[in-house]
Amino acid sequence: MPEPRHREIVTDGSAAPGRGRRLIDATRVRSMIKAVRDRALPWGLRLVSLVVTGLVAVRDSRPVRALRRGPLQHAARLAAQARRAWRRSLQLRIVSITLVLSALLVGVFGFVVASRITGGLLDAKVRSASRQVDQGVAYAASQLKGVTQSGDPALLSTVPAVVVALGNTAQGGQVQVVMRATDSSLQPLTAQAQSPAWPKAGAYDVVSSPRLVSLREEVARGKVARQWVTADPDGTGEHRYLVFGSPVSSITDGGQLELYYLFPLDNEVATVDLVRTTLFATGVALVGLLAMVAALITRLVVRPVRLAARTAQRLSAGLLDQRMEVHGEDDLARLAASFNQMAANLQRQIVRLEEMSRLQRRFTSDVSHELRTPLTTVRMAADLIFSAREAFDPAVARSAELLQAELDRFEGLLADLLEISRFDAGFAMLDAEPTDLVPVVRRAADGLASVAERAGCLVEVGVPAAPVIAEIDPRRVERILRNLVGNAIEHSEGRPVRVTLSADESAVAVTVRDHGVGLRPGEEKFVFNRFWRADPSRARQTGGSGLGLSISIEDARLHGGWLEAWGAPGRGAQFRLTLPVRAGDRLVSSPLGLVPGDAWLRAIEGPEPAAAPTVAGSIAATPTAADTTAVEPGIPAVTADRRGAP
Amino acid sequence: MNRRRRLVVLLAVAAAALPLVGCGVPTSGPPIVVKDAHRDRGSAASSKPIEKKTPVGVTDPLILVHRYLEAAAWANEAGPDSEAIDKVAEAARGFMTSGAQATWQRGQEITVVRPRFNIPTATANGTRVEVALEPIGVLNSRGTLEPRTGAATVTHQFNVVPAERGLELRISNPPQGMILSDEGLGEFYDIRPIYFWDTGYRNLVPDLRYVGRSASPANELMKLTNWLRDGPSEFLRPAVNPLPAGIETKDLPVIDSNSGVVRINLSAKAASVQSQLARFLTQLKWSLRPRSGTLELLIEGQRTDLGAGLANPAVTPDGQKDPPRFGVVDGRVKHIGGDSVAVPVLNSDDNSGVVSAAVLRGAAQQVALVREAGPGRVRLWLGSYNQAAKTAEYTSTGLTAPLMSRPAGVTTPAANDPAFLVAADGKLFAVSVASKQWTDRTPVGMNGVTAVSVARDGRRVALVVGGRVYVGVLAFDGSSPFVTQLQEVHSGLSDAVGVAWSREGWVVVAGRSAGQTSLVELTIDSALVEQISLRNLQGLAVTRVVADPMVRLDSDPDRGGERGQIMLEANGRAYRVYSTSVDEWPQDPPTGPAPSGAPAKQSPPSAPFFMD
Repeated sequence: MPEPRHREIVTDGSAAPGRGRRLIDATRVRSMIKAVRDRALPWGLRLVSLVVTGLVAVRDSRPVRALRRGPLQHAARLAAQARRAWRRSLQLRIVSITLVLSALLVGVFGFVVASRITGGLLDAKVRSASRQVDQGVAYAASQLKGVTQSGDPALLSTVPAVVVALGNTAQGGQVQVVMRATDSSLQPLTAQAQSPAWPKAGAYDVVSSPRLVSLREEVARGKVARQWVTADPDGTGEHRYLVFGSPVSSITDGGQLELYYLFPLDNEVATVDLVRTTLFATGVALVGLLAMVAALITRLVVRPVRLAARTAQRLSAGLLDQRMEVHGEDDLARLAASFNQMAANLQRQIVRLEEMSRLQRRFTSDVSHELRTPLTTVRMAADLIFSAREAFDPAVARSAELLQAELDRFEGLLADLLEISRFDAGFAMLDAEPTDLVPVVRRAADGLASVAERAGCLVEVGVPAAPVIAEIDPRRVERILRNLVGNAIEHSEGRPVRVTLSADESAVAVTVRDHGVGLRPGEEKFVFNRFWRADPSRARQTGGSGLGLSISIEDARLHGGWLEAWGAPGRGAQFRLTLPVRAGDRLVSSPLGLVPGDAWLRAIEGPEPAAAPTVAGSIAATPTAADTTAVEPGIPAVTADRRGAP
Repeated sequence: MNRRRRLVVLLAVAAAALPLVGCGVPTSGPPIVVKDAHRDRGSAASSKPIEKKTPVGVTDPLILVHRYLEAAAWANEAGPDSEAIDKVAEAARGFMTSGAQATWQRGQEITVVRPRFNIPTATANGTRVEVALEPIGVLNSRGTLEPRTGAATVTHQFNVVPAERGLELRISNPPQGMILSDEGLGEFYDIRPIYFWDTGYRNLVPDLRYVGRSASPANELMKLTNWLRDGPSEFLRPAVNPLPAGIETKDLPVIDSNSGVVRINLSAKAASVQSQLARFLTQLKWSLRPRSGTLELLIEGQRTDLGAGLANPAVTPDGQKDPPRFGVVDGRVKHIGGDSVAVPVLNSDDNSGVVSAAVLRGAAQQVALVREAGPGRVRLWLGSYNQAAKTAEYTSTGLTAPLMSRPAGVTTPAANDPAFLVAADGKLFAVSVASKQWTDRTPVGMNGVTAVSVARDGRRVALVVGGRVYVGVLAFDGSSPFVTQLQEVHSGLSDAVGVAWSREGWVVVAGRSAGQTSLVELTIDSALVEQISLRNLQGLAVTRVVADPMVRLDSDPDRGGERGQIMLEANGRAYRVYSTSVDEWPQDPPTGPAPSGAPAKQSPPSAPFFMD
């Protein structure tokens, strides 16, 4: 049972995958609402349930869904882009973190500074105002002494004089001074031209307005109190004032005379605004400059790191002499020095290994060449002897025949060695020309007809009716096919060998199937190794050198094609050669499958194979009695892919 | 990781936006109480040190003489120490020429005079300033101004000559002895009454004393305490008790600068009179104001726990804004203004045909009515309220006369037998409330008593006899009061018609001066005189004056103290005295339903008075 992906939550079956959790909630809510509605519940709950239903319906309606999809998707895309940029660029990350943190710090400090300055200004104002008020109250009390009988006409003449005197001596801008009575003692004043407020009569209205009702209550209780207020006593617009109120003396009928000062805060407001704008501008500039500085400094660090990344990339691509520049003694210099050391070691190792490999190949090549000359001579001599073998003893004649055969074999081996060394040296050349593969296949098969006859196996060739044209080197391809078929015949154990040719627009493929011993799991990899033999006890019937498949795979690689093997013990083997139709094309697929269709079949023709162990478990096959276990369909044997270098 | 980053970004944005928001000058806010309003504790707390004036820089001989007459200030306080007096008298010597200094004798006491300056005349070697020195009294070492009765005004011609050296002026012929003008008294001394309990220990009686203004607070307190210990002045002696013998101070009074607490340490003998300490504490509290915030009595350093002491019966009730005023409206005594007070005794049919009246405050409010008793005669009635029967009962006394002053109530040693003093037919009578008997208490040699007024303390009395004002002390014969220790109060008015106690040591006198109606307030020792100038006063024929002095613990007794409310009766109407003007008493709107037809018109009140 495949594990469910997290989006496919088990629902009530009505959900499409992807809507997932949200829809569950809605459904549940709906059913709950329905249940609620059906019962006789109070109207309030019913209302709520209807409202919720309505909201859910709105959310699921088409236009809303489209809306959610449109702009939100844009935003999501932008967010994804931003996140990618963030992940890729160290510089961007550092600069943005610096921006954010410095903005935070500057904001906090700016706020602290501004609020302290404001607090200091306001405290100073309050203190000076408090002092003035104290002095004013003392003066007013002394002036009003004895005048506080209610109804005393002297009160109505003293109050304006006091207010004017106080207003004239007040400092700090246009301070408004107001005298007020809690009863109606000063009523006549407000009616006449003389006002208990100076310099602007409007200040009296301000003090009597509802804005200051709580201040008046405090003053009526006998306290000196202050309040910040925004008011307009002189009709020039709303300004901020610091209002101080203090009781002065009591009037005999129970009222109280109170003195109010309105100190204008215009200077303080202007100063605070100036401070605030300056701080803000400075803060913004500071943050910007910090970000720039961070960017510059990051570059100092990021540049060498990028250089190191580039150098490592080039080194891994094969340019082994890439080194980093070492400047100074800091961490980056240490990094560069270590990198250089590592690169030098790598280079040395690789060069040594290459050298060793080259030496080996040179040796093989040299030896092959050196062996050629004496071989030719020996060959000539052997031919001579062979042609005159009738004149010799039967034993000697036999020896002459053996000599000739073995010399032939020796020559073949040497040719193969030479060929392979040519591949190693990189001298192998591809002569590709558009060739019809059908006659090539036939030629290869017919060439081995005698060998097949001797082995007693049938070679079937399946080719399409139409010609199969591809750009190939016919010589090489024929060699490959000859080798494959030869191997198949050798290992077929009498059963038929089938050669199939197929093509599509990009590739041609030839498969050689035999039903012999097959390959054990894992041997498909080794089968193309040089001098590898699956079962050393088997005699080479066709006298192969052990290099056949190695040469074949090199030939295939030269074409840019694939040569792959498949095999299963007791089920035979299949070799597939895939070549591109146009030389130089990259192969992506093959017209024929590597695993034959009858892979699961045991050999149905011919005698039972000697040993047929099952796939599961056993690697070392030991010949035992015939295994009559049922065939298990469907298990693909492990295949090996030998692909050419991309 | 994402969430953390998002949080940091949010914080950063918020922090960046902070300077734009948040701090700034507030546009509004709640009221913030700064402190309690400073109740007028008197300007004495912030008095600057007074310095005597010197002849330096004086070019006007008149000013020189003025200054000379103030130079002897504070000499009385140096006490019997001759050297100390000499030091203070040096200031006076500074005004004299060297020849005058040699011959001038300072004497032992300061004479307080009221100088009247004439226009200076030039002489051969300087200027002659003629000054009429009217003697007021002698300022003794205990701060009492003893009135000099019968002393004549001396006119002295001051010779003002240039000094030997320099451009200054000097006096070459100062009169002998130390002379202080009333201006100097007012400027260099503070009025500080000290208080004694009367013989019945029921009332606190103030004794007017003068303390030199140079003293430090502790010094001032020490002087006052010492004078308290030394006993009352001559004037009050028959009426008050001195301190009990056991009470003696041990050290100087100590003022704690942080808390303002005044500590007075008594000697061990005070322990024997523990029961009297409460009274002593009350005396101290009232005598040492306004400096005595909190007073602590210690016996040999040990704190005593006396609480707040006793109450002064004369004190103005707390919370009183305007003293209750009464007047006669349409022959009935009514409450016409001020704080409302219940006087159930006035709800009576006998409250009719009243010419003038008096109400004595107390638990049982006693009322004396002067009612018409036939043509051209008036009779004194006494009334009180029967709590049990809830009725007001009035009894007629036998006292009738063609003319009677407003009666004045007096408490006596007998608690249930107060008395009323009334001047009738030129004689002074004391009427007992309990027995309704009246006794002739005209002081010896006094004829023509026209007005009587009793002070708030109930032991001092002011009389107008034949156009002159006298102040005396009440003594009791059983429960019947009589007047002793009469001394004249020189008001400067030729014809006084009425007198009332406007402050604890001051009386207000209404009369005529130079043909004009005038109102004058002066201390009872005649030292400090203040003209009360009022608009509208001219043209009023004042017949009576009443006043209600403010007696409060937190008021400053110095001349800055507040004058009490004053009412006048003139032209048969009540008048109210404001700070700078006199106005008719406002009429009450007619109470009760207005009858159809002409609205009821009430006649204006007359015979105004305060409660005694």
